[in-house]
Amino acid sequence: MSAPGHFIALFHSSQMPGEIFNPNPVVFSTSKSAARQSDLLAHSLWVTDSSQSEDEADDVEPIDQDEIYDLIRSIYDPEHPNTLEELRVVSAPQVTVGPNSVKVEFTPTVPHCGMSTLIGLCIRVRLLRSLPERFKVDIFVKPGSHQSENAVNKQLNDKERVAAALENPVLLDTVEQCLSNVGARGIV
Amino acid sequence: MDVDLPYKPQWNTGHEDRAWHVAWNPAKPLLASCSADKTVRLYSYASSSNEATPGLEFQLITSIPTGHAKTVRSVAWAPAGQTLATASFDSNIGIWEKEADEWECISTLEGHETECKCIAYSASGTLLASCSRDKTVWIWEVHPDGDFETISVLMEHTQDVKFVSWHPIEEILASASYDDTIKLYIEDPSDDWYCFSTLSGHTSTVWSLAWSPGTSSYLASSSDDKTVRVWRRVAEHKWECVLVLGGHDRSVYSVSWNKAPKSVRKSTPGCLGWLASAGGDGKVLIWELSEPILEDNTSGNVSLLPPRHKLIASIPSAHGVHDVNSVVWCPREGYEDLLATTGDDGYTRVWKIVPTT
Repeated sequence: MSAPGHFIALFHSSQMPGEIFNPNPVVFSTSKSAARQSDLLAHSLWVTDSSQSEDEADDVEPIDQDEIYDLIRSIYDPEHPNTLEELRVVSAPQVTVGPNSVKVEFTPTVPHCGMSTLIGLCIRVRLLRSLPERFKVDIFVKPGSHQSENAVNKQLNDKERVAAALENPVLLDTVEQCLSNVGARGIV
Repeated sequence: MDVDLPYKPQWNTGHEDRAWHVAWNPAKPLLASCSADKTVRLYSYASSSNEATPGLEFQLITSIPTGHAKTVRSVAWAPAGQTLATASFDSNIGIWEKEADEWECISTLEGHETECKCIAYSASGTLLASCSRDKTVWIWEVHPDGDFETISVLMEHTQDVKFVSWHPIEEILASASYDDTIKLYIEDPSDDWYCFSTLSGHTSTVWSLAWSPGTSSYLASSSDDKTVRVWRRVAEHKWECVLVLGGHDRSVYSVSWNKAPKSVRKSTPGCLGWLASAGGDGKVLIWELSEPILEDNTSGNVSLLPPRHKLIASIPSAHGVHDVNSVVWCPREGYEDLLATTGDDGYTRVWKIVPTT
């Protein structure tokens, strides 16, 4: 029912079909997951007992920057076969975690990137699906990194627009594709 | 003032997904809520028959599978209480009436190009306003037998229109937008409806509007800038911001204003009623407002003084860890102390505001 162009209007991107915003992104090598706390946790016998996970979801347990980063680093860029980590769109220092809040800042590869709202939406969906319900998530582009910084930020943090976007089958399909490999690293 | 335990519908009556909005029937003991699960749920309420648990009992009476293809974003009752309107992200408006024992869709209003966000009946019930992400506000004339006629399409906002609300007495329409402004419209008798005023002041999306009770010379607005603003009518076609209320830590999604219970009205000179606000911080705040008093009567313009205001109740975590999407006072005489809220947890909750003594 929804035309493919629907989400473009929804997110006010000016992208024309087939247009590539950044044809030659710089790809960085990924970290080898040095001994981060989250890896230690992942190997802990306590956490691998999956039968507890339902109950634990409601418990207040601290979540750190690296865990959030692990959840989002393997999201694919919508127009490249690379992950957000490889393109350095996201990084651990750009994640801020409070007791009940998470703030993620990301860096579009080019300042005119029309995919920024889609990237932000993928990050939001990933965190919505992974984090305990008590977390309020705010997503912003890195200050100065995008020519429509305020417009992108406003859309990404408007729950009504996000809810409507996720009811658009074409857009949701695109998000799912970007999230198809997120389990590669993240601990959920 | 304190907040009594919530009158909460039974556990199995919540929506299956985020509950967006709730509307009290103005004439009958009925409450309608709507949700991302595309249903509308109707609750009835009555005094408890059990002496051990006095108070009101709420009961789910039906769940209407609206047939909307997407989220039902808002619901509105016509003033007579016979007709219910639904606004959906599928861009359509549904008009519902009870026929025999079933709620039937008697009309579907098509016209908006994208998500319809809000609908509102005028005080007389002869006009229906709707708004959408397509940046327009539509005014429909209500004819008998589920007939509607588009009488105006207002294209004044530069972004999504989030909310529409009619003045409770005069035919003045207000709209709130993602463009951070509020616009006010009236009909030119010899021409079309037009925008006669734009209220600027909020620094982000304006989510919701509420007129003061009584003569309705005030308008309250809630915003993504975390504040509630109160605007006062200083001339027939002129409103000025006279008060900014803080207290919320995240976006304020909803505001509702109603007259206070009779006992409070009697004991409070110039009482402007109770204003409730709620939002992404999960909090519900309730303010008592009253007309300003000019202390120095030698000079000064009383109309620009802020109304007196005090916080009389606060409900933290009204829906647990979830956002509160709407807060609505019961408009029925004698039930002014009842407040309904909906949340991302899918529930509708009803609160009674009672004195602390």
